Amino acid sequence: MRVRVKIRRFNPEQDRRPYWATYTVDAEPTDRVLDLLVQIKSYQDGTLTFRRSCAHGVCGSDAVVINGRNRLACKELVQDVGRSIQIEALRGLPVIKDLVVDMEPFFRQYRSILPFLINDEPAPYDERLQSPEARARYDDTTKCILCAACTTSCPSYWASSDYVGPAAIVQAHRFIFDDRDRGAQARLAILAEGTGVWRCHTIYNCTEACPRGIQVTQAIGEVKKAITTGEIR
Amino acid sequence: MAMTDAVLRRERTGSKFETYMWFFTRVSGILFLLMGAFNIIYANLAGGQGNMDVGAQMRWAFFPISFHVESSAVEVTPNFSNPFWQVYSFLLLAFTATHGYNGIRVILQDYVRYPLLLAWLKALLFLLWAGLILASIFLIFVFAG
Repeated sequence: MRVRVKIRRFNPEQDRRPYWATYTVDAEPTDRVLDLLVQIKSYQDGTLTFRRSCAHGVCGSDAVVINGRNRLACKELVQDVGRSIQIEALRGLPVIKDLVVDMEPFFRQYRSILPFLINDEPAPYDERLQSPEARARYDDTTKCILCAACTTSCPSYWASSDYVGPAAIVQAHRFIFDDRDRGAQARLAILAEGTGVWRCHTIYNCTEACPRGIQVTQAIGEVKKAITTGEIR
Repeated sequence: MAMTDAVLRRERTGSKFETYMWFFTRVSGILFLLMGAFNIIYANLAGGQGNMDVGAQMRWAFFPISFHVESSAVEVTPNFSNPFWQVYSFLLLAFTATHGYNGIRVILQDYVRYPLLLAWLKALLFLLWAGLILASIFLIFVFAG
């Protein structure tokens, strides 16, 4: 089938503003949107720039806006998006070129919530054991691949990049509700500040955008509850 | 460990204002709806039924002062003469005003990008809020009381 791909392109060295370029590609219904991008770059226009690494929905490199929704290009099939496909770079982050955005503001917010195990107690000889129930408590938020689809779908984040954003809160949730971790109060104090969870107005864009199906807004709600009640359950 | 301690200390400023305001917004939102509903029910039980149009009922819900419902010929306006209705009306107004003004503050914080402009707008908002609270104290406890 013939597919019309419209891509929002921008080269800061040549263009004063982004423009839409249209390509026509032969594709199978079961092709992924990423296959179309690769085909365009290989056979039609070598200057097209996009990120991709594993191409199997695990590394989180190729999150883009497909027909207005934040999706991983490597997970989205042509048969699900139709014959007319519109692709643009993630919103809310500076565009470096074409579909490539500067992820540094996103990772800065990620680092601010201390995304690592904090436990100064001496570790046992082999490992810190955890029950399956305790592991299940935060299982959902361990699925995050840091693709930035949620954060860049959030109107609160578009309005103000001071907001830590859903992805950072998801990562904080992963450690706050881990019973081996001892840094929960420090993270909750960071997220209780003006740039933290209270900027979330439960718009649910993040949950809709997450390619891993994480219940992002629910995770944010659980962090809000932990901050207000002071209890981590 | 020294390293984790340094990391933990660096990130803390410890302000709980936003947490309290978020909680207050939830609680006051529920409270002022219940208080408004109670006002309407009371007004109707006290003889307003059939005498007040919808507009008067709504005004009565959130600010039950006699000259707001003049046209309704209801004889039972509390008129803020009773300390219970004074405190009740003041709390209702204070909850509603603080809830609403805090909402505007949150919207400003979300959308105003210039720190100086934001500070000025927040100060202006605070003055409006404080003026409203003072005016309502005057109206309820001094003027009408």
